[in-house]
Formats: sequence, structure tokens, C-alpha cells
Amino acid sequence: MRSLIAIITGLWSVVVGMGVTFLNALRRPVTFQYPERYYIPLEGFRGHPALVMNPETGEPKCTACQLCVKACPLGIITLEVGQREDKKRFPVRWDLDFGRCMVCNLCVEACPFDALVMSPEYEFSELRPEDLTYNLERLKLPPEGFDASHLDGTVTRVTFGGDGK
Amino acid sequence: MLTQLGDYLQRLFDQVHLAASGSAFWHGAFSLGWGLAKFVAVILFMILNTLILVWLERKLSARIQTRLGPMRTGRPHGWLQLIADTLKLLSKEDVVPRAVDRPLFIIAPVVVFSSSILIYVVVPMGGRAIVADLNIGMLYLAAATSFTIIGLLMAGWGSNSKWSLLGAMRGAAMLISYEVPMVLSVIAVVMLSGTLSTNGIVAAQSHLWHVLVQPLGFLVFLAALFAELNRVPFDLAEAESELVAGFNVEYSGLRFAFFFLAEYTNLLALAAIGVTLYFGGWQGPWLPPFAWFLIKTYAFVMLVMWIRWTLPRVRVDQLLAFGWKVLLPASLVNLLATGLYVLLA
Amino acid sequence: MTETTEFRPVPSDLGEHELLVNMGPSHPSTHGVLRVVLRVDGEKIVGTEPDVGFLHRCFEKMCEGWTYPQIVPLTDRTDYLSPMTCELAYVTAVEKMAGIEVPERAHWLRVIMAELQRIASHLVWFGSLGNDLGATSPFIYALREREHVMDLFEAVSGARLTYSYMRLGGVRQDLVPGFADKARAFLKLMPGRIREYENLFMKNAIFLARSKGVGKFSAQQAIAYGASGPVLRASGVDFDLRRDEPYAAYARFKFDVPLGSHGDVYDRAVCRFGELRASLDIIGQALDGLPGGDVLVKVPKVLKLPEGDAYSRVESPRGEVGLYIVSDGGTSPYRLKWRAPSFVHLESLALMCDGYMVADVVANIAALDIVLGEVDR
Repeated sequence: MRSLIAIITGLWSVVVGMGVTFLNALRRPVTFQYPERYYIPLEGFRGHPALVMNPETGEPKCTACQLCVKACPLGIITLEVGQREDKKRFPVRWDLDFGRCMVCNLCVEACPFDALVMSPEYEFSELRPEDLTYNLERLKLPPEGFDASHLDGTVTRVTFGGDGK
Repeated sequence: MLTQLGDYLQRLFDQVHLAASGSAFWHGAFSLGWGLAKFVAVILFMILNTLILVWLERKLSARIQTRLGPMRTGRPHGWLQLIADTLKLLSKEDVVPRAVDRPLFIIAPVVVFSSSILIYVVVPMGGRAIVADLNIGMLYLAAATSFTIIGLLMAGWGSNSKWSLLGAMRGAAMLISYEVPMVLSVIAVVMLSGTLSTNGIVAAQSHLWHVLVQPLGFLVFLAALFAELNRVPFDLAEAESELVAGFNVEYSGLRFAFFFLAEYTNLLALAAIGVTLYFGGWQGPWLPPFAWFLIKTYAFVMLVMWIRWTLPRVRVDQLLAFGWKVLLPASLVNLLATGLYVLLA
Repeated sequence: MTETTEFRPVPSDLGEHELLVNMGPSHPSTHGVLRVVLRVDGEKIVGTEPDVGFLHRCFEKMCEGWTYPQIVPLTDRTDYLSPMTCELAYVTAVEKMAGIEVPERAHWLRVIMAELQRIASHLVWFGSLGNDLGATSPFIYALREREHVMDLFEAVSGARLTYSYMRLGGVRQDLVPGFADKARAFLKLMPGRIREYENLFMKNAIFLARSKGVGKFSAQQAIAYGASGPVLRASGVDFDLRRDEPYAAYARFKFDVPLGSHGDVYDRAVCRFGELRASLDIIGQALDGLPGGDVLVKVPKVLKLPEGDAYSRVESPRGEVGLYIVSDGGTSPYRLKWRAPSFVHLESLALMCDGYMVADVVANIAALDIVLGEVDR
């Protein structure tokens, strides 16, 4: 008799489980159809380190003080210092080996001039590994924060706290 | 209009049959030609439906899991995905590992696939649309489904790998154990219908579906069906997360495609048999019989898939215990009750 | 016919009916690259031997070359399914040695993040338990809920897996506006979903049959083998670091600590499942009573710890994560030892598996909830 009750409760648990799956089948799918919808991350998103531009001069704010080079645990930043006419130091070469970057944010925090931020980019695929070594030009932060020129479809701007992806 | 076309084709067929029945040679040629035509039609039907089933499984599982499934290959809802997958499987290198038992390894997929095809011979798809209306249809079915075990064991032993051997042994034990309750529940239906022929069983349900008369038998049949189909919760032979891929771990490319397609072919065939036994086969108002057959079979298939994506897998000793200690007594009780009903009614 | 090379010779005492099966490093259910060598007699297991080291990345040696602030992102990568608690273990240890006073708000934020992390980690555990036992749907559902936690973490730390959120002296940044609302929405969403998981999986007859009585682990064995966390509590030993040796702001909160009795797979599952609900409770209390203030104190840029050593431990979703730092007065640790709970639990795998069936190995590994990142470091 007890085994009969066990069988019936077992069957009932199966039916209840099937009810849960059925309810879930009626929900709206949560798949985010990238790239037809493009997710723009929040401000603090850690994409890759980018050089903040000085809006007046159009040059990076970086003064080549080498504090980021010392802070980086992996030693992937390479700087070559140059000096302008007004004795201000500026980076002639600012290389970042992004293939090894672990996006830990330590260089950004070390910079005393707020010249480094993390850009909200997340599409980094390259065809050759050598292209993963970013130079000064590649690392300049675009005015809107990320380069939107390749987007042509619907762009979904997701704000935190708003409707999800 | 369809019935008119059907009547016209039937008259044509009768004329040709009459003309050919003159000489023995032409009669033989006609029978052979007609048999081949039916065979080709069934194979085409089976292949088409298998592809649809694979797509359906992916889409249904996706919807159950609140995601979308294939969407891109074949823009609306990925209907080309399965063609792409098949092409990919066909284009893979034919790897036969050095240490395998070559004859067994090579023949096993064919055996498994052909055992699924054999079931289509007795599946009634419409009024007279059946490959061969054997008057021992159900007996033939029980024999044809037993074939899979041999193919399974050949694959498992021939692969010369411990994981596939474990999978094959489990699978063989499971298939053999669950044949008995399945056949017993089929016998109960046969007793109710009074005939072993599948068309006869369908005809016997013109007033009342068998599932309403035999709910217990249907549940036993359903449980045994999962074991026969190697699907979760009883997919021990091929338990993906334990045995990597069970008995087909060493297979790749076209041979793996055979196993994969055989599973879905088997699913459709046994679902069609289940519908024939319990849900009235191709009978139904308004729509042509073939349409009802498809609707009911696909509904049954979706039920099987729904259960598959809900339940976890049982362990092999629990599986055998369930088969022998629960399903077998239940099917015997069902048989006894049916016998009493038939005797008294 | 070429000779086959063997990594390990077949043991000479292999019985006549026994088979040596290799649940190899690449296997869908070993939660990473774990190799378990099984001696089976048919389906019954006669011997188990876990073989680890496939994911060894020289974490502890690397720490000896990096400065103290630099090690924080490195600790993320040991237990990559609950990085917040790893960072918490590390910063607690270093702050203890250096005598850094962390502001109150930072402590509360650390609690919130650790508990959110516990929920995320337990969701992954639940999903992989379902997946290993054959049910794929709970896996997808659990990861769907985990996305909410990932969004919260992405807002506050900028990344979805390796957060690098805690700092020596506090946390990296305060909560962004909208965090509390979204977190509360998540807290409202979860109890219903947890009930769904219960109905779908935890109360399922097949799961109960697969897990009750499997992998029994008594309380004495648990203490002897150094088990901690849910594994220890499932065996009946009532010990929770958050309640018994509180760190961060845990002393302020009242929460349930689920306890099992048999120490089988089912009890471990129920304990972890109960912790999901308890974590929701703690986060609710923390969000309600969050004090104001700074979140980061100023710590010297070049931090040198005094000579000596310290051990600190926190309750991660897997068990007790311990950190033993030996300092020689420099900017890098002289020795940093990471006590990983998964590594300790793997030693008891043999005890849990012998005498059961092959399918139970998978259930046991899933219930132990090991992460190879912290096993191999």
C-alpha cells in the first residue's frame, strides 16, 4: 500500500514539474538578439583602457607620468615620453598589449590626472594577434564614449534600472 | 477535391492491377513496382518528418527554456538549421578508430537505423494508406522494436571503449526489461480490439478511444515508450552528462548522423503506433485521415518532448526496479482487468 | 602495432571483474577539468581517485611577485563562480594584518555583494546539479535568474565575472543610482522562482530517488575530513562562519542556517537551496539599514605589511575559504596560501562514492559543488 502511495505521489510530482515547464513555455523568451539589438553598457563598464582627450587641445590628457605602467600587474603598458615646447611631457608612444590585459582597472585608478578610463567597447575580435597590441590612435576615447559608426540597425540603449535587454 | 483525386487514382490503380493480373510475370512485376513505390514514399515521408522533428525538438526545448532556438539559418525561425547540421555531419571525416572491431563498428548504425525504419511498415496513415496491412501487425511490431538492442550492443562492444560498453550494457538491460510491459499493454489493447492488425485496431476505436478505457495501460505504454526511445528520463544508453555520449561516443560524421536520425525516426514511428493504439489513429471529423494522423502523431511527439525536457534521469538500478517491480505488475493488472471486461461485456 | 603508453600502470590488485574507468579531464559533468579514476565492478564503484592539477595556474607563486593591491583581481580568478567572497577573504586578511579600519558602509556593501554572489553561485550549482542529473531545463532557468545578479554586479563593478570590486580599505565605488531598486525587484522576483525550482526539480520523485541515501557522509567523517560550508552542515554539524565568527557586518543580521542530518546528496542540496532563501533575507535587511558614509579609506599607495602572519576565513558558497599570509615586511607577500574548500572536499569524494554506482559519482560531484579554479589554483 505504501509503495502505491509512493508511486502516486511520484507521478503527481512529475505532473507538477510538467506544469512548471509549461508555464515557462508561455513566457516571453529572454534571448537578446545581438547584433540586431545592440547593448550599450553602463558608464563604469570595463571594456579596454582608453585615453581621455582634452577637448581644447584635441590631445590625450596623459602626461606620461608612468604611474599606470607601475600599477599594471602584467606590465603590458609601454610608454615613450616626449617633451613639448612648453616643457609639458606627453606620450610619444602609448602601447597596450590588449591580448594580455585582464581589464582589472588598476591602471585607471592609478592615474592622478583622470587621463585613463575604461571604454564601454566590447567587440574586440581581430584577425591577427598583432592587431591586439593597441597603439595611441586606437586607444583614444571617442567623444560619445564608444565608436558607433559600424551600427546601422536598431540600437537599444539600455539604462540601468530601465527595461532589460 | 482530394477525395476525387483519391478516387481517380484508386480507379487507375485497379485498372493497372487488373491488366497485370493476366500473366504471372506482369503480376509479379506490378507487385514489385508497387512495393518499391510504397517503400520510396515511406522513406521520403520518414526523412522529411525526421528533419521536421529535429527542428521541432530544438524549438520546443528552446521555448520551454524561455529562449528562441535556431533563428538565423533560414531567416524565419531557422528551418534550414537541420539541413545545415546534416550537411555538416555528412562532410566530416569518417573516423574509424584503430582498435575497434571493424565489422561491428561499421554495421551497428545501419542495424539501429533499419530497426526504426521497419516499424513504418505497419503504421496506418490514412484509410488505406499503409505499407502492408499485416494481420499480425502488432506481433511484427514487437519483433521489429527488439532489433535495436542488437545494434546497440554492436555499437557498444565494437567501439572498444569502456564508456560505450557501459552505455551499451545499460541500454540493452533497459530495452529488454521494458519490452515486457510494453508488449503486455499492447496485448491488452489487442484484446479490446480483437485483432492484431493496426488498421483493425484503429477501426475498433470508432466509438471510443482506447485511452479512455485503459488509462493504466496507456501510462505503462508511455513509460515503456521512453525506455524504447532512449529518451530522458530513461536515456541510460546515451546519458550525455555521465557517459559523455554512451554507446555512440566513438562515432562521428555520417555514422553518428545515422544514430541521431534513428532516434528521431524511432520517435515518430512509435508515436504513430501509440496514437494508433490509444488515440484512434487517423479517425476524426472534417479533416482527411492523413491530416488527423499527422496532427495526433505530432501532438503525441510534443508530449514526449515536453516530458523529456522536464525530468531528470533515473539511475540504472532504479530503472530496472521500476520496470520489473512497478510497470510489470501494473501491466499485468491492466491485462487482467481488460480480460474481465472483454469477457463480461 | 605500436605500444600504448600508459600514464599510470594498471594496479596489480585489480580484481577479475573490475574495470578501471577514466572519468577524464574532459567530461561534461566534472565541473571543470577534473579527472576521476574509478575502479568499477559492473556498475558498482570499488575505488575512486580524483586526479587534480589540470587547471593549475601558479596562483600562489604569482602572488609572491605582485603587490598587495594588485593581488585583488588575481583572487577573482581562483573561485571564478564566486569572486566576491574570494576578494573578501583576501582583503579581510590583509586589513587584519595591516590594521586598516574599513568604514561601516563598506562593510555593509561587502555583505550585500557577498550575499548576491552566494545567490549567483548557488544558482549555478542548482543548474549544474540539474544538468548533471539529466534535466537541462533547470539549468537554463537558473542562469536566466543569475543574469539579474550579473547585471547588478556589472553596474557596480563594470564586469560580469571578475569583479575586482573590493579594495584594501573598502570597496571600489558606491552603489550606482537605481541599484537599490533593481536589487529589490530581484528580491521580489526570486521567491516565486525558487518555488518553481522546487516544484520542477527539488520535489521531483526522480531527483529524490537519485539523491536520498546517496553519498552518505557522517558528522564525524565530515569534521575529520575538514568539510565546511553546506557539506558540513548537511551532515548535521551546525557551524556557519557568518554567524559564529562574524566578519564584515554579518554580526548585525539575523538569518537562517539550514541544517541537514544524513549528509547525503539530498541534504546537501536542501542546505544550499535553503541558503538561497536566507541570502535573499540578508540582502533585504542590508538594503534597508544601509548606513551612510565613505566606502573607501585612504591606504598608502605603496603598502607594506608588518612582519608576521595572519589567517582569515570567510564563508564562501562552497565552504570555508581561508587565506594564510606570511609577510616579511615588503610590498608583496612572502607566502600566500589559499585554503580552497573544493580541494578539501575532493578528498572526501572517495568516501562518498565507494560502494555506490557510477551515476552517483556525478551526483556526488555536483552536490559537493567544486570549482576547479580553486581546487588547482
